[in-house]
Amino acid sequence: MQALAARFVAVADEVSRLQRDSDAECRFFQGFCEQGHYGGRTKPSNTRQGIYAVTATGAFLASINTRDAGEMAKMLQQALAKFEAMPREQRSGAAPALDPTAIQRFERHFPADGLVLRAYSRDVSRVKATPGWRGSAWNQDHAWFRRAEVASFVPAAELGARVAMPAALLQRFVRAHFVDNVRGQTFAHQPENVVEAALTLTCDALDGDNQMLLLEGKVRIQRSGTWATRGYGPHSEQQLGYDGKLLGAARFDRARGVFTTFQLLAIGERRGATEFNGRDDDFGPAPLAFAFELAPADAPPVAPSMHWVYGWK
Amino acid sequence: MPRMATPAMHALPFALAIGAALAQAEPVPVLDDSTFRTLWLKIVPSEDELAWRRIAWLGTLGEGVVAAQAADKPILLWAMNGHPLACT
Repeated sequence: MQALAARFVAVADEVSRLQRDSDAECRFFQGFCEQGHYGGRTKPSNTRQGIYAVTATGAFLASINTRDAGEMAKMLQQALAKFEAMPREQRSGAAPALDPTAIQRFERHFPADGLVLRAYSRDVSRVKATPGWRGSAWNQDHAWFRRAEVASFVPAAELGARVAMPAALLQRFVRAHFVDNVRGQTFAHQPENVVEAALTLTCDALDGDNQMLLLEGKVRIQRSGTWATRGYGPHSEQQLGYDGKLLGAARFDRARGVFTTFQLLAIGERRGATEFNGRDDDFGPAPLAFAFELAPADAPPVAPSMHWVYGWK
Repeated sequence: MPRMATPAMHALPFALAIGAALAQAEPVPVLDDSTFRTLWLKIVPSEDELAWRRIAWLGTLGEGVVAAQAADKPILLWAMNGHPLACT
């Protein structure tokens, strides 16, 4: 599969924006997606998600939505055969079909000089086994902090110095990233759902410019309202929540003003289900964990999935 | 004449309810210095689970269009509800 994929330029992107909005990138997608596997579909949704093979000029080659490696390989081979049968000018053109720098995506806010974390969520130590992929599911996201925000929660370079992450920053972190998305997408928490949140960073060692930090905290989320607990299902009165303990360690390079390691773990109890998060038969209470680690500098700058919570304009 | 309920009889439904709740509860692992490493390794995905990262995915379709035009290659687009490299 990797050898086949290497014959393509591999791209991952979020389909809702591509099929909804009207910038050049979205129009490019809309120019071929109706020729794909979900073309014309409206039920159970109008999503056009899947895997597409297209040319740089926007010509459709093939598409599929599958987890089957054999089916995927077959689609890619068909696409390559079509691509190679096309003249170069037709398949790639003389110039790029669009200018990505002119498109106003949230990725333009990528805090390259701040803190970019990879966030993971996963069930932990389950007593009740869930069959299939849902039993071992995990999900990921990215959490962003601007450089000035980082400066606001790094303690002084003195043993025992301690700083609490500012409330507004912590609330944003919790609302967008302490969500039960293990098995699928869910919604962000509202400010009032964050009943309690604390995260302190304590300087517990110094080594030249490097400051070793202990991270400790807790989070309590409680939400009630009316929503569906399975896809396209009826709405009813629901509750969800999470009570977790936070613990971690990080190293901050004071000379460069950046974290060079960061590990934060949250272990707690979750309750409830939302429309697309696959908990309709697993409301809990049950253990749920979140882990946050420093993203590599060369990782693609992918925006937090619920970036609207950030309020960055 | 209705039979008088004893305190034990009143407590029975309550005890049964508590018992049922306890039977359903799944214990939350203790998170402290001694368990941190073990729990961390259980939560963060393994190399096998991250095998898809061995493919050099670009994060936006626009970048892919530019790169494919320059390299004269087709685009393989993985487009999901929720960004596949973030949360889907």
